[in-house]
Amino acid sequence: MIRKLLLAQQKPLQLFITWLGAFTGFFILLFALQYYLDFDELLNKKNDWLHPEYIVVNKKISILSTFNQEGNAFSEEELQELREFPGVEDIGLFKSNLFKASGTILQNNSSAEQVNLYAELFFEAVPNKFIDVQSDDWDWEEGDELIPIIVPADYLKLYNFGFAPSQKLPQISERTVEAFTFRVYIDSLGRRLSFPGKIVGFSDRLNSILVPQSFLEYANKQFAPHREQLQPSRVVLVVKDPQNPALLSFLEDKAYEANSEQLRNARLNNVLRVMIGLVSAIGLVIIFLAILGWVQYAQLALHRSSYEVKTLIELGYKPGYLFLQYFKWSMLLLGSILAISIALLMLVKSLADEQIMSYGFELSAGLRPEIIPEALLIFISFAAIQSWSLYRGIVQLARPRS
Amino acid sequence: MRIELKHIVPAPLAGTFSLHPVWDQEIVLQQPEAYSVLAPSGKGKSTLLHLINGTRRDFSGTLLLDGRDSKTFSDKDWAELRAKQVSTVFQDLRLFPQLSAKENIQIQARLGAYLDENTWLGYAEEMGVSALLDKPCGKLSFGQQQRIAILRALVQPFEWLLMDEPFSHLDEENIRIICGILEKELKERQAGLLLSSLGTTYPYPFTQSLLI
Repeated sequence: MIRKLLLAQQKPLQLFITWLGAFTGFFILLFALQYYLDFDELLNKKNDWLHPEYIVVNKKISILSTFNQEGNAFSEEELQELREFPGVEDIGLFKSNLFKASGTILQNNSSAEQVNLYAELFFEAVPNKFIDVQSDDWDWEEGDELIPIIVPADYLKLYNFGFAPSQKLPQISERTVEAFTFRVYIDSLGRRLSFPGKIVGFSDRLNSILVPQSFLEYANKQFAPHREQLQPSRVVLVVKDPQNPALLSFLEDKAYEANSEQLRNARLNNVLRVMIGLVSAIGLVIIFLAILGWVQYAQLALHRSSYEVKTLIELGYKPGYLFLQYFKWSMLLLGSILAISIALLMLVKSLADEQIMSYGFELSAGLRPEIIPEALLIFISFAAIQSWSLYRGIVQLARPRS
Repeated sequence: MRIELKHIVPAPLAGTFSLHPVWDQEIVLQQPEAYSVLAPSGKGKSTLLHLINGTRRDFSGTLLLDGRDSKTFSDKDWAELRAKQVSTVFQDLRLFPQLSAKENIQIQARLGAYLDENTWLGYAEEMGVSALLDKPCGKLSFGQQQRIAILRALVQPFEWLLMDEPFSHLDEENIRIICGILEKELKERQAGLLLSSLGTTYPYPFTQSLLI
């Protein structure tokens, strides 16, 4: 009866608008934190085992260098300069094939060698320590038949998200590709030799078709005995800090191009941070306004019921008891905001993640545990500010009429 | 409860008199005396009652309630006093117009009732308002509301009953009935009464008069 008396003067529309404002701010802040943590994990996951970090460097292709193949290669002096640059810990040289190679993909269970896809191929090799794929099959010794191959992860993405949808072909996973059998043909001295090939992994770091260095050295010697090994046109640098400004400006001055997942991720990370920061800032502004609106609404509600509050106090009701009635009511409203924003966040996450994952990002499912303290923090600040304002208002009303 | 007024001057009356029978005097009000507080408008009848229940605190001098200085009372102390020791019928009644007459009485009873429901329903019958109990107070006439406010004041326990011009809109017959009920209730509780009026005499056995 008391609560009915105290809350009889509410304006449902005003209350709803206040509720909606607080709800929006609340939801945006929870949403921003959830996706900030999700993407942060996504972008930093790949870096976890990348200490130190790797940058692939090549010379910029210019019109001049198009006509002069040697122009793209690093000279001994240039390599030495890179090797000695402060912060560079190691340097890996790409070696390439000197023979003509091609390959076909065979259907898995076909007995006859039915050709599905034929392509001219090139191979490169770098020492194993520079490769980000760990596979037991990544090994070749003289006498081995099977050639293990590593291809860029981008190739598969290109196929899955570019080619396959446009051609109505099924998307394929890394596992499926690893089950394919290839046939690699090497043309040498008028003969065509055939080897089985197998993709053993996908590299995010090295944008090349890689074979074990032992195989490439053997094959170059074997199948192109008269050609000399070219100077490398690409190198992979191991650096402590890929963002090192001295290194970046050195690469710039030399007209070298640097390509590293870290640089890409760092940029993406920064863009993401700015965007999420912006969303959080908007959420904070809304929350701030919402708290103001909430406090004002509470004061207004109290003001509308000031006769009832004053009279109840004059009849012998304690201010603390009346405060408790308002407090319970506002906790109910705040609780509904908390519950509905978390429910909505779960819903939005499950819907959005489906979409995001279709772009090839693996997000971890479920809400972040950090959401709980964040939600509680906002809840408590709301509750505290409102309670303080309500209590002060009631105590003022408890003072005698003059 | 013993009420002691020691040189009390309400702030609005300061400097408006030189010698006064109540203000700036030492007066002790004792249970179970029944005081008739008589004065024309604007002389501070209501103020006296409001000082005692703490709804006015703007005065100089000392008000002792059971020997305790009223200036030291907290909001909670006043709440306790109003719920258990001092019951008031305000001149403007202070009912809740949106609640029914019955709910208005129940809201007081929630704080602790002295009368059980059957007793006060019986009084309502005697006062001729039992048919009105389910109507919102706002829809009742002022005379009917006065009777509801008196019922509400009787429901709670008290040592003092403060009534501020409680019969202004009631006819003689009603006043006689209510005075009978008051006499019975106050005697039973050994409670004190302070009843203010503009000078009308009521059929009640007052033991003292306070001229303001």
